[in-house]
Amino acid sequence: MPHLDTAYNLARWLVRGAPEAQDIAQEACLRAWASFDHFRGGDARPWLLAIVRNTCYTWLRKNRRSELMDELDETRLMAEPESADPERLHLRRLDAEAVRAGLQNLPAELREVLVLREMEELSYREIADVAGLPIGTVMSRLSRARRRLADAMAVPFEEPRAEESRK
Amino acid sequence: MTCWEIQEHMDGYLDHELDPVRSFDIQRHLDRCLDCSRLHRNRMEMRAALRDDALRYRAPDSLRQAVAAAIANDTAAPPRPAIAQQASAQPSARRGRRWIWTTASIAAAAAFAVLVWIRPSENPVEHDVFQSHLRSLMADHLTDVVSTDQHTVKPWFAGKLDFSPPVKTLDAQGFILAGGRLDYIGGRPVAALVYRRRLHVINVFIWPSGSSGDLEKESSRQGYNIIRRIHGGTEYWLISDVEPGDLRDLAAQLVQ
Repeated sequence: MPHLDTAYNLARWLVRGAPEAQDIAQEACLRAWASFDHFRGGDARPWLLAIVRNTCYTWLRKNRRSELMDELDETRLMAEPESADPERLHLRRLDAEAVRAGLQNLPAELREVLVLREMEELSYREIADVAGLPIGTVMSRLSRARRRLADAMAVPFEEPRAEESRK
Repeated sequence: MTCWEIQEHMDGYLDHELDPVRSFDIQRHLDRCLDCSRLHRNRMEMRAALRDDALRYRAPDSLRQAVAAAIANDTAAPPRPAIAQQASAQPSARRGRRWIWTTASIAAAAAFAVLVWIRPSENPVEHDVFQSHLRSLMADHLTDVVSTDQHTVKPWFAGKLDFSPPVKTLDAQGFILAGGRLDYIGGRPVAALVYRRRLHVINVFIWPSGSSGDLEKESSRQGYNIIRRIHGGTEYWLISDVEPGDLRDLAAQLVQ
């Protein structure tokens, strides 16, 4: 049942708690079922993801308002200084747990575009449709998300990498 | 392009969202610039890490059962949206369905289950058709026999296949025969005919059908339209990025 996994995965990444994600995925599936008459055919996955996403945001706005960005936050985020030159940074060994933690710590809006792009492999157009955003915003968020995540994973080039020094 | 420009476009490059010319420029730049290629490598490593299955959450069984049960019953009471009261924007559809528990609604539930539970890609033949189409476009292996003449293409298949595929010249209808090749779909050798319509490439896969009835089915996958047609004991699969109407035209011409 890959689509149900898809729905649950997005919910879990957006709201983070397992019980909440389960409630939301269930509600989103039932809502999809209720509005199935309006489904116009084609790939069901982005359609379902849009419903899951909206259900998550309704929940987040109600329960975790402070985690969501307002317009001012978004402006501030996009104006953040760029990270150090890429040549000076070195990605730490990317084990799943470190990446999971890095991704969890991104703002929901950035986490969401990375999950949709990398895990669901949606195109910019599809992400824009699912998230109800202009394509330009999808691009800038994605770029910002990757930089943030790289910063969180990076160690300065000069320092020996922990696993290497141990050897 | 300067390094700064390359880095600005790195995301679009990674995500295959750039036009081919710019993409090519970046690729060339990465071949000789250490800094930019390090950034690119870092981003690729990050992508691999994010796509690692370990990061994906799987739906717990309890969720699977709850959704299946709820849909099976399409429960009597309108849903109690724990998350958002205003959410059930289509109560009328649901209520309607609740009262008319007919064959039609059972069929709808089944269709929904298929859509939500099963990826379209789980039709293995469609999967092969799609893959083969992409391969033919990318790998510069569109045709084994290049000819716009049906009298050259048709005999070429003789001895290579245990059937003789119908080959038609359809220039007048706007489909230019470009040639043919041998391909494998669903584990068997099949004939692949290549037609061009303006700048688009259409692959037509042909083999003898196991069923004698008629069938016409359309689907789409990642922007490609697919038509499956069974007619006169022959199975045809057409795939292309042309308009569905054009593809339908070609299907109709082929089986005529």
